[in-house]
Amino acid sequence: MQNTKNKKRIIAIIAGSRGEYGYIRPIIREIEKDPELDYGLIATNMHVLDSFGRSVDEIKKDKIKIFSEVHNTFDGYTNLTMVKSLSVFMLQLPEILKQMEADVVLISGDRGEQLVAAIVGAYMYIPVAHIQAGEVSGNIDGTTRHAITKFSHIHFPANKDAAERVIKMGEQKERVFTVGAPQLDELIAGKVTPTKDICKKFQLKNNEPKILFVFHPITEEIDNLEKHMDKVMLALSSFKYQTVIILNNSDAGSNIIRRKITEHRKPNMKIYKNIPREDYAGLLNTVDVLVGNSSSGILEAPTFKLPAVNIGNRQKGRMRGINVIDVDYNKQQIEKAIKSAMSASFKKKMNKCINPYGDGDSAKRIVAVLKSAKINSKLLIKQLTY
Amino acid sequence: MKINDLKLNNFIVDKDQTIKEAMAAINDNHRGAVVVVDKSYLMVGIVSDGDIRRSIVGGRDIMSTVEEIVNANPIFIKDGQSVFGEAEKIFKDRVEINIIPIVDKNNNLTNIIIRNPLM
Repeated sequence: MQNTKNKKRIIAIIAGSRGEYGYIRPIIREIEKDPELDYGLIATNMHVLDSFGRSVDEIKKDKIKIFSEVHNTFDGYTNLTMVKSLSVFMLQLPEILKQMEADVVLISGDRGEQLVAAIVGAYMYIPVAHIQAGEVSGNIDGTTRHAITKFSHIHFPANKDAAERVIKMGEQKERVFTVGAPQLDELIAGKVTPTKDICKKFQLKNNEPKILFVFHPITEEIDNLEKHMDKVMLALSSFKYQTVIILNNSDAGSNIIRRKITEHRKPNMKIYKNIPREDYAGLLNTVDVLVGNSSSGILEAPTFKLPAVNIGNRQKGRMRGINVIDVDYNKQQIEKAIKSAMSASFKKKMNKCINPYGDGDSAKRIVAVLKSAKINSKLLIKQLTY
Repeated sequence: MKINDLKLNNFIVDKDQTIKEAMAAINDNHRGAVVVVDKSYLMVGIVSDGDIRRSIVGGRDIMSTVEEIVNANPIFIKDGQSVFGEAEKIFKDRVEINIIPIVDKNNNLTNIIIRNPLM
């Protein structure tokens, strides 16, 4: 390493999907404010894909500098192509980190690219810091999240529940910082497209009920995905309300979901691909119920006091606010839950809804830790507590 | 018009065809748009001259697939008895619309109604 003394501390940030960008942007804004810190964003997977809306353009519009765009995703979206895609990312990342002279690798959530980055960082002896550690998700993502924990040197769980889980995995307490969920920072700071603009953009009548639907495939339930989607879409299309459907990410099975949505669509349903985060937040703020299995029902919807009908196992085990109604892949159950979520009594109950995941200051806390952490053997060499 | 006829005409492209092929179809059909379907004739959406122009201005290659730029929310009509009445009304209210896909209850394309230039 040359000239390490005057060099700014460079944080390498990995962005692979739309969800993660919400964690990342408030953190980058904090890094930009600090003269001793710099960052390099590595955009990969669906961020650089046309068929998923090329959200990298949204990142550029936000004047965030992208150090590298890595095209890694193979077409086909099966379990096989998903793993193969990850291997391409793994092939390229070490060189990119070296070019960047990264001092810390910052990753978030529970997706494959993030695990790859954790492994690469750990093997290159670059400290790895992980946002949203210790939470539970009910599929391969959940496994990935905890595997990331084992490769990470600094953990940023969103709440006490998650922090305890990280510590129980044998991680040292001094590595764990309970910071809240940074994607809530912007929501709480009001980076939300106003309802008037949302109604115009998505052709919605504000005085009529509105449903937002977001559904992601679950890797190990892929054999049943068609059957599940039929039930879910039949339930959804039994409602005549205005419905906005946001198409899912590039996981195995996403093609099936797209086809099923197109098959079951009704004139009252509008389909959109990738939409800017402010607009997504605006939708959460505008609609009457969120239906599907997106983590935003658990993490973000409570901030807007928005009822969420959560279908299936994708969010299993995660801490919930009172806004969530859990249902199985069952037409009757889903219909009943949507009706109940849109009822006046449930709406009244929502006044008391508090978001268990954060207060809007997470990015500040994360950046403070990234800045002050001493990068030495104590940080880099991990001890299991048992 | 039957589905077999539809397949051969220049009002339909498969979602996996390129933007360039969609442009050729639009060029031939003189209606400024094509209907996009998948292999089983599920109606995926419509691509218009304007969608193509915007995508190219936005930096997209004409060899990309039409699925990437398809407007998934076109005006369409469910197959039934009043199809022509509805179509007439749409053509009257929306001067920019020249083709309207007709779909069955499973959203499969069964027909396309085309604006008569003399209407």
